[in-house]
Amino acid sequence: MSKERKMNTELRRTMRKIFRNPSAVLGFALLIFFVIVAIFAPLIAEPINPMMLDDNGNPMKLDDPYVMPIITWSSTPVPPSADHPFGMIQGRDIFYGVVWGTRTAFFIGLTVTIISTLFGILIGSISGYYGGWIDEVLMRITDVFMSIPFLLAAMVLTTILGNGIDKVMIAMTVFGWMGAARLIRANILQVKEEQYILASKALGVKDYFIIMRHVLPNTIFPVLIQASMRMGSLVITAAGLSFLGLGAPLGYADWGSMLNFTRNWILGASGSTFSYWYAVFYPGMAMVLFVLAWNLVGDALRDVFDPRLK
Amino acid sequence: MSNNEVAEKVQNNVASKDEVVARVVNLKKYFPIYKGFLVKKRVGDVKAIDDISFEVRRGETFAIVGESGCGKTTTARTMLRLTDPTDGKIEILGTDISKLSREELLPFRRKMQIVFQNPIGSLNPRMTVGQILTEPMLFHKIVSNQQEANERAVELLRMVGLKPFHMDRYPHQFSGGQKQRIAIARALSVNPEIIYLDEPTSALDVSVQAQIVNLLLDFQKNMGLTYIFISHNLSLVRFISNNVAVMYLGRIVEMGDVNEVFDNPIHPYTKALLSASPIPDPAIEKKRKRIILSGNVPSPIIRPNGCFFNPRCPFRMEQCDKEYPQTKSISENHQVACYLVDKREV
Repeated sequence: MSKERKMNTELRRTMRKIFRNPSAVLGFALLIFFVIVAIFAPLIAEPINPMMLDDNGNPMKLDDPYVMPIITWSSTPVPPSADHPFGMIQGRDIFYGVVWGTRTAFFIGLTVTIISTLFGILIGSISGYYGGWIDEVLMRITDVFMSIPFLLAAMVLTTILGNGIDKVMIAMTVFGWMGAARLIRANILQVKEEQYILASKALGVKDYFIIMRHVLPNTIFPVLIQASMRMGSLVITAAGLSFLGLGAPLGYADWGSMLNFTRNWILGASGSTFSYWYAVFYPGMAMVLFVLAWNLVGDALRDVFDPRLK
Repeated sequence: MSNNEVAEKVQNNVASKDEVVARVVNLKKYFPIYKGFLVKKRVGDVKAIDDISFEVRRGETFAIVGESGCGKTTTARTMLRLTDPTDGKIEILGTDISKLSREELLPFRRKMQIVFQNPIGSLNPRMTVGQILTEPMLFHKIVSNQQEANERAVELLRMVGLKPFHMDRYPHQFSGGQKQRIAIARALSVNPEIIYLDEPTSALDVSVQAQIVNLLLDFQKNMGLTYIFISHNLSLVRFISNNVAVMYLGRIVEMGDVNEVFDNPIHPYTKALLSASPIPDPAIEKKRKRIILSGNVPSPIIRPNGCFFNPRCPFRMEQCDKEYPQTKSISENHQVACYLVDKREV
């Protein structure tokens, strides 16, 4: 059997597996939808300010599309209309915020997850593979980081570094690598005593090959799956920090800071609880679906990567 | 010694019936015990193997028996240099490998292979059978390309009673017995001369055990393999091996021709072991007197004074508490380390 054909059957088997599982299909569909929204954000919600006109009488282009333009002077939220389908809050268009917030969500999620997971893998695999006092030292450091309550640590760090989306990301990376480190260390400890590793050692195979062919393939996937699931929850954490006023600056296109705007309106007007429902619903729903997408994708990946379930 | 010289030496060793292929001389393996946080202090040793010597001849099956924790598996792993010996010599095909470097060891790695007890853990779950079998051949350059390796892997599968289409399957798709066949095929893939069998049948059910044992015997006859067989199944040991060593707490207490040792055991521990294995005849089994040992195996860290077996020995004498008995030959191929030898001679 040729290598190429084998790869194809493998790929086809994987694809078939994904498409047979409705929740996996839903997860990937949602994720693809968010990716499309993020890529085509400038077309879906044009980054222009209708309140300011340039010399030719056309609306002016925004300097920074991530800063939502103020398009109305109404101090109370404005309900959805044909022009502003998700309504307006604090003078800003919720639709615009949700669309451009998708980019922010991907940016935060991917960057933080990739950096913190890579760092975790590095620390965890050194710790697990070499053992001894190296393990002892690295794991105690990990314990120290884990013992600090995350929100408290993030708040202290953003107070020191200052506000802003990049500062939040630094805080989330610095206090977000421990899970991956612990996971890969535990897996390596388990796998390195397996008999197929000993069998390879008995053959005289080099350490490098043993790590690449036997140790990593049997330890890395749980970490990748955990990372994909964390991608969603990180966005919630970032939103939480934004909600507390520690994250994105005022008016930044970020789901969390949009929810921050609703703080005064969340209980509705007197007599009608749900009068400002759209202010919470749209950014909130975007966040829920984003997290759901990553969780379902994580589940699907777990099924695909486990050879025992093939 | 350069790599090539070693390789040549290994190759040029002419096969002869009485040739010693493996000799272990005063082999010791201690595992240090450390205590303390960050700054560790060595507080003692687990003496897993304590001064053992034996010889294995070409084409024979040398069995090592004993209860759990007596050092059987450590002996095999040390001889394979999966762990480094504390002291002593391991001569494989005439060369002491106990201090060779990783590169110098390579030609010997080819000549020695191991089949483990647990067939589930001994195959990488993320590799297909084809990958598992071709990896060793390609690594040791026994074949020149992937296609040749595949052909040889199919041939190996056929030899162990599996089919060519099993090449693309994953280990979890096989039964325990089939997995053990794959493990045997992997061991054979590099044309070894010595195979360590670390309880290769104890994880399998009885009907499959017989198949695997017959397979191993066939290979031994056809390829002139030497087996070092680790087991606690004494009837199996008697069936397949020529010589046997009985280990207790890291030392060999009795060693020799399997029939001589089993028919005429001298050491009370050997007697107790033999007595513990059932006889497949209910009439005899019902009547026979069994020696039941009291107590547990002493800790290998703090061992009893004198003979290690004295706390459990029904024939304990005064001298047993004072000094560990010397190993004495009672016939050409039967050695015992027990004071009862002298009594017997008197």
